[in-house]
Amino acid sequence: MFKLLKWDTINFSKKYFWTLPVLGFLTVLMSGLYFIPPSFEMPFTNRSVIVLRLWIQLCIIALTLLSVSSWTGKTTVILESSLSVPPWKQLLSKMILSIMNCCFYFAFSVMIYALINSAVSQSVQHAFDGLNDLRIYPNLLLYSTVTLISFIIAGSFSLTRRHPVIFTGIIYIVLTRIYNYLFDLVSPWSYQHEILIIVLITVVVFGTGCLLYKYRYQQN
Amino acid sequence: MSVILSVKSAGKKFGRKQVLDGVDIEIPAGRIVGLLGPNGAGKTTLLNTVMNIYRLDSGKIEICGEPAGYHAKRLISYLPDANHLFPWMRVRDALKYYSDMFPDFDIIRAKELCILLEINEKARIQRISKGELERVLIMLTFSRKVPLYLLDEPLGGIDPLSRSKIVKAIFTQLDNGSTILISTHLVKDIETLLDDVIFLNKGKVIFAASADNIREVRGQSIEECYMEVFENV
Repeated sequence: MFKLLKWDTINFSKKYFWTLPVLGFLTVLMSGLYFIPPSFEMPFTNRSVIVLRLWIQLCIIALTLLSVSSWTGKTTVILESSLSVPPWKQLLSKMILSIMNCCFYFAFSVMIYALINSAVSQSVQHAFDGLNDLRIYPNLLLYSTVTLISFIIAGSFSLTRRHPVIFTGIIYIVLTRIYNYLFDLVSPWSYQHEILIIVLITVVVFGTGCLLYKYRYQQN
Repeated sequence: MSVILSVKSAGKKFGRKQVLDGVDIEIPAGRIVGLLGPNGAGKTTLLNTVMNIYRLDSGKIEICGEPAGYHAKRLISYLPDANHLFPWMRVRDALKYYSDMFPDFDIIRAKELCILLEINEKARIQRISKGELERVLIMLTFSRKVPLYLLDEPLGGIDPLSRSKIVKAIFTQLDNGSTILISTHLVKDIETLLDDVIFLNKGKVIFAASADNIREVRGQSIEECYMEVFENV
């Protein structure tokens, strides 16, 4: 498992070494427009930060998608497919990688923002504190699981297999809509319940992903 | 003699195209079998289904009595028809990867094969020639100790010198009593290696026999037999 994670990380860093600094700098650039440090906790209520928040979400989705799919090159997928490693370990390794990448991206953005502003202001410090907030990790976990399962569903059926990236996007949107609907339906009554629901959904989605990967998924 | 690979009524469709159509194969231990057929016969698809990279629509595959799946992959060393290594790798990275990911990988054997096949460990995968790449893949494949080796077009599109080195490497593997399934349409180059042949056409096995039977009973070389069978299809 750790060896797989090690090689997934090396492969990602060799293949997409440019993504973290490029996305980080672009985020800082956008943050600069609003004089607001990048944060996971930007509310949609403030109109001025909607664009920035959407941008951060897009970066997280893009990083997650790259992390979970970086091994599926047309030929290199065979290397991973010939390993005698249980599906859950393969998928878990990709999820851990995507969470690590998102945290690096976020920390990098905040750090550059702080450096450019020559001092770590209170608000930037607050943004850094966001990384200590345990709530972001279940959310990142959910993001990467949903992206991962969207990718696996797209590769599991002959119709969707032909255009995996497009269908991954469509399935991702559908799944997040369902998730939001379910979340509203249950309407958690406390912070702990919110995390519990996220973890439960993640486990169910991850289990389904493992089954599909084991019995249905194949590269076109 | 125990059966290493058993394929029963294997069927696989891509869209509307039937790529494998009721394929039945049984390979006993210690045999070197040539899976021969023209391009598009279904050879690569068959090997990919044995590796469980493609899922069968019908039929079943067993490796040493175990159904094809991630668990059975530990019994197979697979050489695909194209480079499957990450392009950023150097040969030494590939050695480390195999060492990490395959518990049966024998690094001493790998070093020996590097010398035999004249492989430069510092060479970048992306920059080496096709012949050199094929030698690297052969070295990695045969450095694993497994009951079954699957080689998909190991001699395709490479020069005669590299070809002879690869055949030499396969010869060194013969002493270990391994079972090898070689898919190719370059019959002449591997003719001397083969114990059995299976001719595949349009997803169907159209002919199967032992090499001795072809030579002694039919009085033909494998290449002559191949030409005769496929000309009459």
